[in-house]
Amino acid sequence: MNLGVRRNGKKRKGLSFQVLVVVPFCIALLIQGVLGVAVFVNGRIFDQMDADAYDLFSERVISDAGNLEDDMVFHWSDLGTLTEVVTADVAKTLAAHGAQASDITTGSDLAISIINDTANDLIEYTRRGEANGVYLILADANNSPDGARSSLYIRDANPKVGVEGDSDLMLAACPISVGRQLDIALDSQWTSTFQLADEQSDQSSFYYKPVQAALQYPHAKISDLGYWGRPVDLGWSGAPSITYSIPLRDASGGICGVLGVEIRLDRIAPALPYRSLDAEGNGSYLLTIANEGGAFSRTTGASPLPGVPRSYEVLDTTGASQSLYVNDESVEVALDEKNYMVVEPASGAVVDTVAAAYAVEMPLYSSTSPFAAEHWSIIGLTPAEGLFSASKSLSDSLIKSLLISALVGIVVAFLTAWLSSSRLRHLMREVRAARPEEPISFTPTGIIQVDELSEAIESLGSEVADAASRLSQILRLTNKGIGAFEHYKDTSMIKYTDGFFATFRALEIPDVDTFDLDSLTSGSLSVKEFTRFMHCCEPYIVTEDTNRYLISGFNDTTWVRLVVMPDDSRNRVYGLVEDVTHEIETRRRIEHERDHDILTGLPNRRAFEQAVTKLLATNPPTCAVMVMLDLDNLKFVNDTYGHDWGDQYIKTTGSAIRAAFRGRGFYSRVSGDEFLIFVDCCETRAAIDKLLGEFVAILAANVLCAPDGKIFKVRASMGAAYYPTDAVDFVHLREYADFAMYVAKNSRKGELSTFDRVAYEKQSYILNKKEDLNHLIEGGLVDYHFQPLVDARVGEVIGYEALMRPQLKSLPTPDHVLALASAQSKLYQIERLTFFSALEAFYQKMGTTDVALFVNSIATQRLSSDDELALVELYGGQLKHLVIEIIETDYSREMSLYKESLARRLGARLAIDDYGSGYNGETSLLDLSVDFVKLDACIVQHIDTEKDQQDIARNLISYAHDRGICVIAEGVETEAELRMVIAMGVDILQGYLLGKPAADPCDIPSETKALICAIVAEFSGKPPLA
Amino acid sequence: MRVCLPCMILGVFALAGCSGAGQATPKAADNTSGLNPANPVQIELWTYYNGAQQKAFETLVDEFNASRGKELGVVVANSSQGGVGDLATAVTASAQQQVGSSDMPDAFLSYSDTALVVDGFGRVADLSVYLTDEEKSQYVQGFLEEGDLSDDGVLKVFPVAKSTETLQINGTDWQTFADATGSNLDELATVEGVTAVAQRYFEWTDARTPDVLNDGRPFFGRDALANYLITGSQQLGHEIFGVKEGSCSLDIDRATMKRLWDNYYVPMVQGWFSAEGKFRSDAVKTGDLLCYVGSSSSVVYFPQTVTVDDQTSYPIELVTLENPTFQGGEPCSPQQGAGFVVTKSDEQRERACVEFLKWFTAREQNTEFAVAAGYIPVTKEALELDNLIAASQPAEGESSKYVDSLPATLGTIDAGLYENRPFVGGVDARKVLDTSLSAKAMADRAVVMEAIASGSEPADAVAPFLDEAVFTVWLADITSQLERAVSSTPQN
Repeated sequence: MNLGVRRNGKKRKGLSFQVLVVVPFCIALLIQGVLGVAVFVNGRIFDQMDADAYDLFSERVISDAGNLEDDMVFHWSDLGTLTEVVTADVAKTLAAHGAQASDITTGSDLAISIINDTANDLIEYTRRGEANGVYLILADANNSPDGARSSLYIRDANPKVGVEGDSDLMLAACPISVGRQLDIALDSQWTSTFQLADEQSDQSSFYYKPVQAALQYPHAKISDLGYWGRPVDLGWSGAPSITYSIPLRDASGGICGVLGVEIRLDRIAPALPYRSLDAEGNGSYLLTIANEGGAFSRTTGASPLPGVPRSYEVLDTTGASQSLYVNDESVEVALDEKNYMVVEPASGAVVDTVAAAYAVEMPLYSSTSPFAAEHWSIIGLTPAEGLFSASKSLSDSLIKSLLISALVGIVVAFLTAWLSSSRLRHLMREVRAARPEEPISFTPTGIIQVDELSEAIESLGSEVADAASRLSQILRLTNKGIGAFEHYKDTSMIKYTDGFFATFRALEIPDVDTFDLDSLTSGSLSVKEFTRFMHCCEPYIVTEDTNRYLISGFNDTTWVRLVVMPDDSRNRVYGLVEDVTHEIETRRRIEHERDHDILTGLPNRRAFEQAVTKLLATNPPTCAVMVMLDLDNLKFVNDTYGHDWGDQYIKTTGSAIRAAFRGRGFYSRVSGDEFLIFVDCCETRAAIDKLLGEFVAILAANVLCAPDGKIFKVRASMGAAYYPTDAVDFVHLREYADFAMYVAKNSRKGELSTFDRVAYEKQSYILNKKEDLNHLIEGGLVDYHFQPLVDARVGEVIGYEALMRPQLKSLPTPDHVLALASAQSKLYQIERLTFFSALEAFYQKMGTTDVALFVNSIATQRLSSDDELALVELYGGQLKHLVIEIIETDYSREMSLYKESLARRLGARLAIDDYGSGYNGETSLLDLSVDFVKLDACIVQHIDTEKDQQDIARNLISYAHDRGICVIAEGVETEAELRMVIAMGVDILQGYLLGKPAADPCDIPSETKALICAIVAEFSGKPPLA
Repeated sequence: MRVCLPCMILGVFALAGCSGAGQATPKAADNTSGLNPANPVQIELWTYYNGAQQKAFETLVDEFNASRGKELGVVVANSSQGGVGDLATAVTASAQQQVGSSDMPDAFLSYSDTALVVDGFGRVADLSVYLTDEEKSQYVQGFLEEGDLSDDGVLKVFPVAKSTETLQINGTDWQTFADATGSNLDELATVEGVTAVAQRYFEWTDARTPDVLNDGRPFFGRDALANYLITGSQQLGHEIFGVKEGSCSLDIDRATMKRLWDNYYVPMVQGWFSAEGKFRSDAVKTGDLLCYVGSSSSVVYFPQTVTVDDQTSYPIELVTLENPTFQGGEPCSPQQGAGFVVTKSDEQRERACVEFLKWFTAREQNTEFAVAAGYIPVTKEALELDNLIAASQPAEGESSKYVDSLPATLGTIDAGLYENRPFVGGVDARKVLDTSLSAKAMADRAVVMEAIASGSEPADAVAPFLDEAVFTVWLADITSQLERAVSSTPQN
């Protein structure tokens, strides 16, 4: 019955149907109950019932007390006749003995006579009367201290029945002689005299009280002096009795004794029928004597007064409930607020409820009696809750019936609510299950208003369905492959538009045919069916993005995009399908154009790089090769036959490549005549090499027929770098392949060269430091140091050689620079740089000087005419001190002549460097007319000891001197070498022994000069060793 | 708001069903169920106690009402209905709801035969369900068995006090007699011995006043003639009432009956025995009898003085001897002492009675009552000589008589008890035994006395009654009376 709660746990505000039914129902019940109670309470019905109960109770007490009073007064204590008879008997006996009352003593003949004479009357009375015992106790003039009194005490065991032969009579006390005479059995407790307790004892009140009253009121009639004694075990029988005693007087008023009867308490009990006091028999009767204390009033008798409780001495009781209220043989009765008499529980009683009571006095005495203050009363009591149980049970049953009727009412209300709400729930289920696209109809609930509501929903539903179908029609009219679905998670149903599955049909996915798509027009599917359908499409689905899926057609010619939009807040999922074939086709075309070379149709460099990089990253092959291919003759074809034929040449190459490598790897036209091929289809290098070999053959087989009928073979240089042995990343593979191709191109054009790491590293700096060189050249980043050249005759410096010192760390020596510049075809720039910079540095430091400046000049390079002009302009006057030192390099006669003419034009001199090694040999001396020739350092070194070197040097010196050429000994490092070269006739000395190259040109040390002079002096006069 | 509909309906039924909760059968272990101190129940007990016994009983009832009764919610009211016979009559009348009879008391003292009669009216409750086995085991087995009226494990008479018969003797006057005649108490061990000593006493007393003729005085009396006849016959090997499964077969053996006759009727008509007064102890009180066989409990009534005439009385001492046995007979004495029969009512009242009786027979109370009333207790624990003697201290007055009589009482018990099995017609049959012989003896003695008073010689006066024919007639008479009683259908 959780209509107030939505299924998804959200509280829906409002009242549930049950509440609407049950609450007012309950309120009505409550009002009804309250009214019912109010009627009873206001009508004082309970009070009246209580009053009636109490009245009934008190009437019964009064009635029972009256009965007992009757018994006591009219039956048991009816001693009138007997008294007269006995008094007469006594008087007669006294008269016979001439005695009077005061003469009577215990056991005396007089006493025995009196007893003897009265015995028959007493027996007669005993038989007739209803007392349990009759006694005549005579006075004792001696007042014997043991209390023994002559007496006749007859007991009647069964006073109600007269038994023949007096067998029910017993003599409890009598003189033995009388007893024998009377033929009545002696009681077991028989005694010959009555043992009277002392005067103060309650035990003897029955005797002394009337006697004292008789003495006190000598003129009162003895019948008015009768005394009711409290229960006492008169004859030690074990059973207590109440007594009624009358004093006996003689004629002169002397007390003769007491005549009385005893009534056993167990005789009184039946007169107090406690069981009839209340319905449960829980009442009790108390035989009491009321206390006169408090505001005792004779009119109200022994009853308590308002506010004045009265206490009673309890003599006897019947019934059990009294045990809860009698406290130490007394009981206190009070009036409660309703003026009912009540008794509080006795101290220590287990109950705390009061007893209802009613006390009624039995007027045993006349108001003038000496004992009138002893108000014998009967108190009836019963637990108040028992007495008033009628009103209690009525109110209880009233409450019970109210509760039960309320419960039943609530149950009925709930049942009603439940039953009617179950119809509503049924309707609600129908509403939830209703499909808007279908005609809606609901089971009537039988509740008019609700049925009207459902009819309204039905008509609303059909309008909604119309609207929905209109939307579908509009979508259809767009003639676009588009469809949508909506998934209600609550109902697990999926609804779709007409175009939804039609759009899917365009994909021509074979499995989907298991669905009869034409029949899927009802507009809804279960989740299970939908899932099955989607599983058919699964192999064709590509996730584009979150919740965007592209489904390609079976033939890869059509595409559908599925977009899913979950709507958590409404617990639904929406989806849209759209035929995107046109979009995908367009995109594919653009992508193809972006990634392919138009001329050859091969992938372009970008696509190639992307593909290979991705392959290496995601699916690295065990073995692969990168081949760089460069057409050899394209420039020739272009120049010869025009670019159309060049393009044809390229296309032919591209076709060859595609034919060879399709499906075996990647290939690309990188730039004009360069192609890159990456082959990853082979497991081993051997297989790769075989494949490449085949490719070379294929390529070679391709020919191009030129317009002039000439047939060209396609020739290309190729370099191969292997993966993973050479490199593992694209960039290096390509670089190495490029290098290998470069090597091929430089050595054996038209062949395949594999990457050689050693060669690569050797030249790598050339390739790598290209920029450095440019930088050096453009920035003039070179310094020049100057090493002195010394006259071997006089020891004086005659000039300096300018030695290049590059400022870049990457190019530490001039050799590096030259090698690089040579490779880069930048030797001219170096030549030019050397001339200008060396001169500038030298003259900046030395100023105008006469010493010669030796500048190294590259043999193959020419200074431009502008350079020459500039030199002349800058250093015109100094140029005559310039010595152009042709360094070891490719020698050519042509260039030698140029150098010679240059020197002439500048007014400078020529020198040949490194004579005796490298290119600068004797031939150069033949072609050139030089001024200086430098003996190579490798000849000078150890010349003092090496005969061969001495021979070469001697020949050169001899040859040079013959032609007027000065010989310079280069690399002189030891004194021995110095001595030797001087001795051999060298003209000029250069070397560390003489002076190291320094930034600033400086003189040689004087001791060196002195040494030279000494050596020269040593050998002067001697013919030179040469 | 979801409420389980079945739950609600169940709830309604549960509410309605509350009032209909079933009444449980009484369970002995749960021994106070049904009682409620806040709603006490009064139970009325009838006894035949008198004097000291009634006083002792009343004292204990008061004590119970003030203590245990208050705890449990039980108030006991009791009334004495005179003698055993009166009580039986009253109860039987009430049980039959005879006109003028009182309501049945809740419990009453009864012998098993009366209990059987009342049970016949379907008015007796079975108390065995109120007692656990442990509680039952505290009682002397035989005493409980006496309450099993139908021999099937029920308990219909709850034992409270037991007694047997002993011989109570005025020891003071006996001594005078013994000294004068050389008689010995040992002679009183047999029934025949008692008869012989009685004759001797009669003759001795007659001789003491030579001037007065025929003033021989009776020596011995019996309180219960039925006991004499039943146990006497039993001693001689004949069980008069052979009770089997509630029915009785008579076994009246002439020779045995003759011995019984010779030792009661014969001394009676000759004045050696007497049956004056209600109880023989009353005659002892006036010196009219020297000894008697009566209930061992009657020691409490045994007088302390003998009152000879209005002026003369003297103290006497009690001597108690074991119940005399016939010569050559097997000692056998009656097991007596009534138990309480609880009237069938409701569980509360029955349980209230049982609770009182259990309390009353607990060691302390039972001992107190036994000592004060002259009985022997019913629980094994209380029935120990030491316990009883200890409870009797200080031994003075009645309790000294009790202590003095205990050895004889216990000796008699040890010698062998005869338990009267109840049977249909048993009450009447017993009444026949109780009165037939006694009444005839007293009547015939009266005839003899009359004859003597009119001048006949005592021997002449007695002679006609000593004839065998008298016995034969009586035997025939009592046999037919007994047969009538035994064969009678239960009282309507």
